[in-house]
Amino acid sequence: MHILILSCRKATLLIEKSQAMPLGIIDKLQLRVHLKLCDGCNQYQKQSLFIEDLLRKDTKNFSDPDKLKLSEKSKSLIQKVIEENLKK
Amino acid sequence: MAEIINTLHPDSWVKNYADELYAFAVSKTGNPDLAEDLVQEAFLGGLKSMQNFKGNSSEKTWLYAILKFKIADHYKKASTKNEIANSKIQKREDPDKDPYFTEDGGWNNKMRPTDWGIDYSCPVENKELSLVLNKCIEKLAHTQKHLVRLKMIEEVEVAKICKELQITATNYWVIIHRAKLQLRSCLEKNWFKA
Repeated sequence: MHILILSCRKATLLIEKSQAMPLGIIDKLQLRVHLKLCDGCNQYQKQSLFIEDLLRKDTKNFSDPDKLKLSEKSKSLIQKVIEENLKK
Repeated sequence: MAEIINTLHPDSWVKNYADELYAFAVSKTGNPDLAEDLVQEAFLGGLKSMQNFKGNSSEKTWLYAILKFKIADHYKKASTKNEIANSKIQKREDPDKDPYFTEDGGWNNKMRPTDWGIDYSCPVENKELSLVLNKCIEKLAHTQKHLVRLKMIEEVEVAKICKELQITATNYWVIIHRAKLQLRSCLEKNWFKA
């Protein structure tokens, strides 16, 4: 295989790796060349980073905090355990 | 310079933080029942380790850290338990039936990413999008789901995670790669092109 030719399968795997660690010099070069030529993988890279951001968001995005409350049963149970422990 | 020393008030933890911690746990696990268990565990864990509280962070930050630890721990344990079953599944995976790529490793036409027409660098605050993403995560295979959920709560140090879960780095990347391909395609289908 030519040193500069990378399959899309390998390119997308390298895109994932590159988000966590620096790539080796050959991988880096191959990926750079591949991304210059491949629109699908270009989109993949942008979207993968976008998803990564979405995953890490420290918000309560997945739910409406006003509607989402811990059950009263759980609350009173925890409260009881805490109070008993504090008495000790 | 005077330093602020924070103190703990466990008698008002439930009143002050229960709902907030619960909402956080649901957002990170996508599972209300599991979130409820983990919040209980976090409060009890906090109670047991009160003597370790140094007072250099706020009570709230400290409780969040304990909850994050409990969530991460849950997924680590779940991944380890599923490891054997999953390695079998992976071996059975037929490379000819790869939905994403052709035999020579190019994109399958139907799976080739297309422009979502958004500003990718712009942070989104969209509840519905996050709900769709959460549903997509739930559809992932076990180990994929657990590793993605781990990503959601802590900065993943790959070498460390691999050691803890007893998987090879190569395996970790194969799992993450597959998970991301599926998440991307699921979001495209159910949100951007829906």
